[in-house]
Amino acid sequence: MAGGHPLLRYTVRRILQAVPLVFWVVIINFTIIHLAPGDPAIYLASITEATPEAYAELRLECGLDKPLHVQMGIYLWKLLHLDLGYSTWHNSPVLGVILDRLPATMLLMATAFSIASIMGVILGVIASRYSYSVGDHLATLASLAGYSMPIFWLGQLLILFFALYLDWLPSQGMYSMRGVEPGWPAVLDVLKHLLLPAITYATYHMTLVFRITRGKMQETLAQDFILTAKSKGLNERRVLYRHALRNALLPVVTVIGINFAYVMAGSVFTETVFGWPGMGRLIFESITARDYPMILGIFLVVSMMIVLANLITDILYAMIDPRVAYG
Amino acid sequence: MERNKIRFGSVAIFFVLAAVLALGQVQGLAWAQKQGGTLVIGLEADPGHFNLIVKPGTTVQVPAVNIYNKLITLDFNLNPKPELAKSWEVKDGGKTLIFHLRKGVKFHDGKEMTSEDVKFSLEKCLPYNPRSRVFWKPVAEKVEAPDKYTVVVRLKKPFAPLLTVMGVIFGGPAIYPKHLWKDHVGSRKAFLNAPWSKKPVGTGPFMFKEYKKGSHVSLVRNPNYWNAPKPYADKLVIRFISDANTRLIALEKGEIDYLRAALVPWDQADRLRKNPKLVVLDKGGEATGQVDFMLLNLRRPITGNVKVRQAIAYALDKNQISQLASGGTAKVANGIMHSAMRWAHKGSFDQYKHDLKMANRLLDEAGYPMKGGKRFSLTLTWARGRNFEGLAAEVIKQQLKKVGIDIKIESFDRAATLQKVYINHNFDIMMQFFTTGPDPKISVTRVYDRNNIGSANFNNAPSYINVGVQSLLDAEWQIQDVKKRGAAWRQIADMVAADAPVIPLFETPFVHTHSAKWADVVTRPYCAYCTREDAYLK
Repeated sequence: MAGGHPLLRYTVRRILQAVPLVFWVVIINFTIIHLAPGDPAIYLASITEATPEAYAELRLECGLDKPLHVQMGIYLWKLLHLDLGYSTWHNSPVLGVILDRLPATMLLMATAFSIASIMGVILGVIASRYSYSVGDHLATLASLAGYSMPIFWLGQLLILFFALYLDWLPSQGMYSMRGVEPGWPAVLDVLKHLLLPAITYATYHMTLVFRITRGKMQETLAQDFILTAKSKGLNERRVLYRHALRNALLPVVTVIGINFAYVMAGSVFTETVFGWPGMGRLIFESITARDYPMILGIFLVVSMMIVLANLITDILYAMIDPRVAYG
Repeated sequence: MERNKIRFGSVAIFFVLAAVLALGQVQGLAWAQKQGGTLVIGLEADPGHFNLIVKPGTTVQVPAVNIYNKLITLDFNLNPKPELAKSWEVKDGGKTLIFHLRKGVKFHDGKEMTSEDVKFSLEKCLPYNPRSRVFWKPVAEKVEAPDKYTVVVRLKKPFAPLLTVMGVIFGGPAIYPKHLWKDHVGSRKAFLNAPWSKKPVGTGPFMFKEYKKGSHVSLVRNPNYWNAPKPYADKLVIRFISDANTRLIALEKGEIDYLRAALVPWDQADRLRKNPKLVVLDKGGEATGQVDFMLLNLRRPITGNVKVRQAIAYALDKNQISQLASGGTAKVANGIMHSAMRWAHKGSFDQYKHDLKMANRLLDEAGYPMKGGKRFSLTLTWARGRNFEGLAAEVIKQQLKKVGIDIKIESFDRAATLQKVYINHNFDIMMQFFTTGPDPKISVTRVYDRNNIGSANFNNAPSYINVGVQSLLDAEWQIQDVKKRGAAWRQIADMVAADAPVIPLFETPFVHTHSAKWADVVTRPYCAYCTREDAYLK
């Protein structure tokens, strides 16, 4: 890896470092999941009463008849060949099911994440500019409420108000079930369905970004170089966004990056409450059914996404702050 | 001649008029049930596939029953009615069943359904139904197809429940097209993985159109359906929503049109009844006949004592339990099966009138005297997911406290509870929701049969053995006369009630709820498994 762009070298090294991390994540997940009482065969057999032979047959089908370390070995071996296994519950390869569900989650996450990050930073900057005004106090109070509200509760409140009481938006799902024209009406239909879950999803995260931005901005605005910039006669906007925000942004980016993991966890609640056909609901359904390969597959994909998010965060550091170098 | 002409003319006019009137009548009916509309049904989870023979659970059945037909169906009194078989004969004292098939029935791909398909479905596919171990494999000898439209089923011995079972899709056979499936029946795995598991082709009222994983499956009207002008709906969409509150709001808001009783929170039924946009039913679960029971573990010393079990039965106020657990919607249960199976049901548990004195006396006799307001502790287990069971558990705890029984409630998710109770036998008392229909041989025997004690779900979890009960269980299913068979079951009920290895609590209310825009959404006694071919937009 000698030579090459330092950024590229850095990226490759970080990815290589992540391999053992992901490996251990898989091992730990595998162990924890098998420690929980119940197994996929029991759940499959619970659909209808089954004889002991039927249960034994299902155990065989799910590969549960072998000792745990052998099962783990088989799983890891398959993983090396990029095979995430087979879900008996879904009667499909795990990867296929995940890839089916991933786009819906990505759409929801990307929307929510953008709303949260952009709105959080903008509101934070404005609040810091008008520190300790009535508006600032109200915003801080609202952010505290948004931060402490459980996602599923907020989601249900929004459904009750916007979907049931005002009847402006659909209460669940991603598509209307009664036929929508293809093309723009279909896109609009998805957007209408997207709005409530995205707001629910974004709220917690937005309040966090808001609070960090506001705090860090206040700190930065009190520093000498801001006074210098102001006394040079620069206009306020420029001081606020070019000088203060750039310096305050580093911890904000960190928070956004770390929060990616929580957003992923939040998807379980949001997607369940809104019947959103994504991965979050798949996690919920798979755990209920003890669908081991599916749970492991989802956790693997999620941990890889988090590793990726951390990497992007670190790269963003250097772009925002030239003092940060890749070592 | 002239007169004759006039007479002929008036007769002709009369006939024409009569014909027009008759046509008007028929058309009037047809107008009342016009075709059109999209019926949207809410379901709790993604089925994964539509192979209803191999996975006869609710999520697969709800879409699949609309794609396939069976030979016969059941009316609300559980009597067999024609479906793909237009008639049948029972011969040789019940050992031979002859089915005469409808002619000209076509699969969705255009090929005609014949006796070969039925023979194939019964012989090659049905054995993959986990329930076939109870009603098919032990009794079936062979299936013959003497001509294109006749099927003969020969049994090793008479099996009285067979016709009833064939009338319900969760037990009986859906007819699969042989020409598509014939290379996919070598093993359970091959059967499950056949492409037709995910792109089902049947003879049913609706044809498979699209399966959007995690979201919905949509079916469209089969234009060549043998039972024309049914189905009335243009389109049938089954939408997967896992959260109970979200499902209910979607129904109230009109985003979905129908939720079956199991998905309607019972304590909300009264409120929903007042909503003019909705219709709450009280029929349509007779064949499934679900009853909530307490199972008592006879392997444990305390619950192994018959006097303790009887005392518990006396100490419970079941009216209060049903009132508080279901908002008064559920009816108190008093037998080992649902009262809808009138020919066999007996309320033998009515002998345990709510009587605390009696309960205390029995507990004293059992050798558990009251010490400081307490006799002993027991654990009550229930599986999460059925909130009414959790509510009932709380009420039971309070009621049993009055006779000195200290109840500790524990609850786990379904998979964990099943392992604990059915595989490990590690429980004192368990709350269990049982299907008891469509025939007690299929769904009641399993709980009291000594040969069914072991490690499998929904078996004889109490580990109950009674020689008298056993001999009746072993013999009753060969009795062809319904009255005599019913008498045997009433005797079984009396004996079980005296031993009280289970205590029935309440019967499931059939509070299926649909949008008032639709009619005839539920026309079969199967709960979730009802075809929607009759549903029409008002």
